[in-house]
Amino acid sequence: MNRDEAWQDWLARRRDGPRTGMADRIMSAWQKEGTDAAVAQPAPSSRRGVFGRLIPYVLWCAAALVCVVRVYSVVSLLVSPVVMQSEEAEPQELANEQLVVSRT
Amino acid sequence: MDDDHLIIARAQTGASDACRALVERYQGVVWTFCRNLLHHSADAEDATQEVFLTAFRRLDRYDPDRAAFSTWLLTIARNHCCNRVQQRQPAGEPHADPLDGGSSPEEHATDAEVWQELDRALEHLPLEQRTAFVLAEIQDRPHAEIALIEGVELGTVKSRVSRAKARLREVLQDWFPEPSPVPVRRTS
Repeated sequence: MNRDEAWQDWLARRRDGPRTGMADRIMSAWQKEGTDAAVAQPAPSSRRGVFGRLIPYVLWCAAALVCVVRVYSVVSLLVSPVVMQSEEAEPQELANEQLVVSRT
Repeated sequence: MDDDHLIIARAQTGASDACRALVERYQGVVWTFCRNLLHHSADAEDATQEVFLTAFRRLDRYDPDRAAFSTWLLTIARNHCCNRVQQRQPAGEPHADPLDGGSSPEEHATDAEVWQELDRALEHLPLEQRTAFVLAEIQDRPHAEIALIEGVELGTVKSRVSRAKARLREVLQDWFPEPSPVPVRRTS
């Protein structure tokens, strides 16, 4: 065996393939991982707690409250009587007490 | 490799038979790479399994326009093996498990010794030289692909492969010394 043969033989030995059954091993590990994940992961309804499930209702209630307040304010504006101020209104007389000038 | 796209697209939807097809098609490439980096068959089997599981978990991130599937897999394998090697204690005594030879007993003794020396030299190469050498010389991957896998420039890959080869050739030099040139005697 000369140098090049030794080199080529060594490279060829290092190119060997996996043992048979490697694919089965990988696939069973992959399927096991999928099963474990499905078991470990609870159903969406139970995963969210009580508070999680209440969130949509709370949001709906808040939105409804905002709407009610808005509607009430608009309606109250429409219904309330408009106070017309007369341009010729007399200036308000000062109270007598304010007219008293201190003599000291 | 056009049907690779179809298989990968099916595997991305979670089809088990498509995943198996990918494993059967690429297990050799991944295993050989891991085997040559980790030097233990058992470690290589574990690493190969982990590489495929990681690939399946991240299959939605694979972009066929950026790299071939084998390149993507080998990138995962390279990162995984490098992590394993770095986590191990620094290599002191050689601990690679021997590969089978196929020669006569007398020849086998010599061959096995040479191969073990080469195995040892490969194991003691710096990690980046080892990965480049394994991909280029053992797995016949083009240098451009190795540059993608390693995330370095093409010139860097070439220099790493060349330095690794030079180191391994030194081992062979010890076993098969060059015949000294015969001095030419002048006749005058």
